[in-house]
Formats: sequence, structure tokens, C-alpha cells
Amino acid sequence: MQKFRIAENRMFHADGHDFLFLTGSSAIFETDPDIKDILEQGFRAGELSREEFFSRMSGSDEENREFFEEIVNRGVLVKANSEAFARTTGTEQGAIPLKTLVLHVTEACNLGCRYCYHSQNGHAPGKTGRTMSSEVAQQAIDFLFEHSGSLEEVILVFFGGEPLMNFNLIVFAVKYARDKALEKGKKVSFAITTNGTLLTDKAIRFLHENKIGITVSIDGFEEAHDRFRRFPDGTPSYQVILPRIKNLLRLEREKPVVARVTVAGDSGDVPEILDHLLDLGFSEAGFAPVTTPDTSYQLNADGMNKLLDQFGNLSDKFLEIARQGDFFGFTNLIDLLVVLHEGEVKNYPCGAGLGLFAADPEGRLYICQRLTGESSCYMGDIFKGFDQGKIGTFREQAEIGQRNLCRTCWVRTICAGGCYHEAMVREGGLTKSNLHYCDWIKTWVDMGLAVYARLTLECPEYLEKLSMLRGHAPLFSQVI
Amino acid sequence: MKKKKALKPVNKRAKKLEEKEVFGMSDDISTSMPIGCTTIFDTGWETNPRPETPMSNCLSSARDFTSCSGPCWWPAQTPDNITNFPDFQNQCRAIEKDWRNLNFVIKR
Repeated sequence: MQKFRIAENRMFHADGHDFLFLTGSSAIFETDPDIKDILEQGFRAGELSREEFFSRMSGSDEENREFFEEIVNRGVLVKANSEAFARTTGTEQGAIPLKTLVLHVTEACNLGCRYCYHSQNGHAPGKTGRTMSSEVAQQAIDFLFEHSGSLEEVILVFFGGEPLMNFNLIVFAVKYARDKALEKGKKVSFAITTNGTLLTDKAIRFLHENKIGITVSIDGFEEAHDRFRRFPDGTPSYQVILPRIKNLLRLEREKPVVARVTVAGDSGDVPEILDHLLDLGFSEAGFAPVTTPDTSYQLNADGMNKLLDQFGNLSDKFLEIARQGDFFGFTNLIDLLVVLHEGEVKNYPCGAGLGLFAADPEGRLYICQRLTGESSCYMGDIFKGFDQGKIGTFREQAEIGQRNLCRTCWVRTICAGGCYHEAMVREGGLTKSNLHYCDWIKTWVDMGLAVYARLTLECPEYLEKLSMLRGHAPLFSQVI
Repeated sequence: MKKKKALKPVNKRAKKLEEKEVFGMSDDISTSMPIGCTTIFDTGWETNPRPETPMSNCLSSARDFTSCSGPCWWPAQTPDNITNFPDFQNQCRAIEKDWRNLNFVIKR
């Protein structure tokens, strides 16, 4: 006889309402308050057949049947013998089109940020390094279009080192990619991550005219920023980038200009940093703990807890502002809310090695920009093509279903094990799960669920707007 | 224990699950695979040998309809292997692999 069990879930509450997040499907339901009791009473023993479940219910047969069908159809109850993990389909070799190619246009950087992960890859910050030639860029762009399958739009990202140190190549690449896009009948969009030091009027004009999405690495107000982000000779960089950033942010923009803050040492005053960056005119700012094996820069447990507290305070503030219908550019929460709203089921932590690859200055391909130069992440090159065997092995090993330690975690379809680079540095293996921040992620997603629930109750259309801001299509062609 | 409780879908995924009831999606909704059609292999749509409706039509049509997938319902025209072609499937031991052997039959 078919037995059923309760699917993995997370229950949460907001303003007297009960909600249920189902791990397997990432579906969120508002539930009647005592569904939890019903399920727990009914399934205290673990597994029940339909008939056994009915025998514990007080309703009429018809009511019981309706209720049972409802919770089975919505995935609250699953067959006891069903696999907790469905194999991801379509990730076999070559099946995923290439959407994003990150070009390391140079390895050189004019800053020498003390926590920089590139210094761990053997590229000492502040020194010169290999630079991408126009021949390589041209081939890389051809490669991107060639492998983009049926995608209508591809994305080219300029990364480094400091990419603006190879500004002329970027100018060439943008022109070449635009021509190529016209030829292929596709769209191409561009993004760049810069430290801001070389944002000359000429560079700003170019980025602006070409609608290039800009991320500036900046750690906040002067004191916070200059703690680690310095020139190789130790000179602080804040006063150098400030006038340039102001020039950049003064312009009307079609694409958001976002700030990306590396949180290192103790976590600093994150809310104050966010306020400062938004006051400067950034559309949004996102925060990420530094990835480094060096304990003097790592956030320790206290630092991570403090960061979580600060994220909690910012989430409260976000909610307050959202209630007024206004926007508060706290990237981390916006990203999480959109993931929750879309109900994304992640079998992989990110797009690295799936639809995203990074090319080094000589055209060698790696799974992501952070792992460029790392031999285990080398996946072929733009001249000879992808190493499909290695990509296949990577995808197989990286999938959430292969991560035994994540099997029973309710947040696994959101986290999926976490950043590969972080795992390599902190856990000693590319496809290991980031166990050092499990609790952190769980608490953070709990915070996100709480905000999500309140927005659902008070202003659901706001969530739809956030989703559309991140490029998602509205559900059922709703027009907001 | 109390009875019927309601689940109100909130996020987009949950709303799609709501659709699932209408359109019939598989248990594993993360792959969003419709059931029915070619994804499962039901036994044949046999003709009714009895002199009652539906005469010469689907036998056990009720069961067939449980595997129909909303607007996706499109019964394959399979020779009946109860009344007329009892050996029809012998050439096809594992239908996932051998379905090409099935070919067609001509009414005698």
C-alpha cells in the first residue's frame, strides 16, 4: 500500500498568519493555522497510507478526500519512497547554452587590496599581469555567440585585474560584439566590475553611451573603504575614486550602477555603509564576506553574527520603506526576495560552469571569474572549444543531489551548497558544501521569509515589481 | 483531529502548483514534466468487446483519462491486444527501448 510522508518544509509566521515553504519545490503557501498540528499529529509515526490518514481525521469521507488530495497535489505530502532528489535534466554535456562570458581583459590591477583573492592565485595585486589582446577578445566573442544556442541575448562581462587598465580593448570588444550581434540577429549586453580609480570622463562617457552595467567595488565611507582598499604603496584610494564616482553617478542612467562591498575583518557598520553608498547615488549595494584563507581578514563567528544582526536591521528598514512603496537598494535582500517569489529551485549554487564561463587573457576557459587560473576549474579554451568531459564531471559532482551533507537541509534548494570559490578556499574542495556558513544562511533565509510573508500580506504587488526589476517575466501575463 | 484545511498559494512556484491540478504535472515539479503523452507507457487503449457503449471504443476509458494531461490528451491509436491483436506487443519487450518495433497493423 502506498505510504506518504510530509515533504521537507519550513513553517513560518507573520502577523498572525502561517506560511509553509516547501523545500523540494520552493513553493510558498499561506496555510490555515492548524495545518501544522494536523500534519504533525497525523504523521507522528512518519509514514501513513491514505486510509490510515483518513482514519485519523474527523471529517466526512468527502472532506477528508478533498483535503488529502489538496495536500498531495501541492506537494505537502509525498510518496514515502519517492527520491528526495530529482536528477536535473538537461545539464548533460553541451546541453546548456552559453549565456555569459566573463573576459579577464587584464590581470593587472593598480590597487593592492589586502584581502584580494587574486593574490592567492599567484597574481600579486598591484603588479602587472597578462593582458588580453584584441585577437583573443574577438575569438572569445565569436565563441560566445557560437555557443549561445537559441538564446536571444548574450552577456559579455569585463573583469580583471582592473579592466579599465585595458580600456582600449574594451572599446574594441564592445564594437565587435555589437557588430556580431547584428550579424547573428541577437542582443548583447555588457557589464563591468571596476575599482573606480580609472573612471575618467572618457571612460564614463563610453560606459554610459554603450549602456554598460557597472559594478563598483567600494567598501563604504572613507574610513571603511581605506582599511583594505589601498594602492600597492599603501596610499588610500577613497579620495581618488570619490570624484570619479560622483561624475559617474551624476549621469542619468539606463542601467543601474551598483556598489559591491567586501566585508572583512570585523563586519564594520554595514547599515551606515549602505546609507553612505545610496546617498552617493548608487542604485543598490550588496555585501559579501571576504573569501580568503587568511584569518586576519576572514569574518570570525562574532563577525558573522554581527553581520547577520545588521542584515536583520536593514531588512526591517527595507520593509518599512517598501510599505511606503519606495525603493531601498539593499541588494542581498532584494535578491533573496526575488528567489523566494519566483520559487527558484536551485540544483546548483550559481551559473558557474553552466551558462557562465570566464576566459583568461589567453582565452583559457574557467568555470567562473573567481576561479580563473585554478587548474581544476580549467574547462577548455576558446580556440579548441570546451572540454566537455571535464564540464560533465564538474556538473555531475556539483549538483545538490551529490552533496550528502545537504540532503536533509530545508534551505538546500536556495543555497545549493554555496559559492564554489568559497568552498575551495574554506572547505578544501570546489564542490564541497560551505558548512562553515550553514547556520548563517539558514537564519538569513528565515529573515527573508519573514519579510516575504509581510510583503505578501501588505503589498504583494511590490514583490512582483522586484521580480521584474531582476528581469523576470510576470506570472500569467499580469500587468502591474 | 480536524478536517479540511486550505493552502493558499503565495509565490509563483506555488501558483504553478495550483495550475498543476488543472494541467496534470508529474510529482517532481522541479522538472515540470507533463504526464501522459509519451512520458509514461500505459497499457493499450483496448477496444470494447462487449455489445454496449462505447462499442468498439476504448475499454477502461476511465482509467485512461486519469493519465490524460489536461489539454494534452491525445490517445495513441494502438491496436487492441485483447480482442484482435493479442500478440501485438510481443515484438516489444521493453517499450522504452523497443517501441520502434511496434509498427502498425492492418485490420483483418
